[in-house]
Amino acid sequence: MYTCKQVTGLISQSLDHKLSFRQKIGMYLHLSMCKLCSRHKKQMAFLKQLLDLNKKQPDTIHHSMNLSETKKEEIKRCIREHTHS
Amino acid sequence: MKEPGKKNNSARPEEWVDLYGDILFRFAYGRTLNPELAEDLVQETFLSALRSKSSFKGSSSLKTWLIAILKNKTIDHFRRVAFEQPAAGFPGDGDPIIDLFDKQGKWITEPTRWEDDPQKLVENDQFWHTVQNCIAGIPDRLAHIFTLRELNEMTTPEITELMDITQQNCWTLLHRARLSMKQCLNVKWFTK
Repeated sequence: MYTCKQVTGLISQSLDHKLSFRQKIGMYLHLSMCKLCSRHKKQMAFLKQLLDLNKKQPDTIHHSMNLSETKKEEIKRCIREHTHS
Repeated sequence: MKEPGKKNNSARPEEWVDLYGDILFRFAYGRTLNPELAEDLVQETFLSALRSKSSFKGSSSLKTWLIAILKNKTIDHFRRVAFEQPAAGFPGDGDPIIDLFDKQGKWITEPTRWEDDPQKLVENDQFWHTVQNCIAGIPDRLAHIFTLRELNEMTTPEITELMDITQQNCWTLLHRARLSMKQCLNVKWFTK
């Protein structure tokens, strides 16, 4: 029987690779009886959902963030120098 | 401006900045959560694109091409960081697992309830700022592996190669990183 500590390790690993059949059965058996680990698993899934959106739609999520005007001018200046040299 | 497609492919390099500067910046910000670093990466991207302008065939959109360059620049940056980081100083200090579980492997610090709507939360700048603060607050190696895996689209085999660690080690570090981040967000955001 897995401990809570071991199960949190498996929950994390399930985000990186396919767990073995034994690991899966052991994990779900523990989760079916442990409210805290189930809550933890849900929270990890919640964070993953946010991080995935950040990876997939940065333009939508961070729509209020803009490249500063100072930086834009600086880059344009660099480009001009480069093209005229 | 909506999705400038191929119609801008012939834009002069100077115009790139106004056309794609913000899009690239948001993309770089998502992968670093660090506005200063994101700005520098965008600058490097434009200058690198300028130097290799002749290799742009126009078969994709200019935007796609620039984003591909930016992705590489970002990974290059993190590769340099990994190289400069001492391999020692391994977890040990600030190990979240020690604080969370007792000797029998039971929760000491029980996960508290979170009430939040992911759709609202995801567009909250303040939340991402808190994520950045948490990354900055955990041990360097954990911060680094978390950034590669959760902010960039790197697979674990790619990370093991980049950081020169074993697969088991990679999973363990990721587990510690995720727990540390979750604990930090729990305190600084969800139960605040």
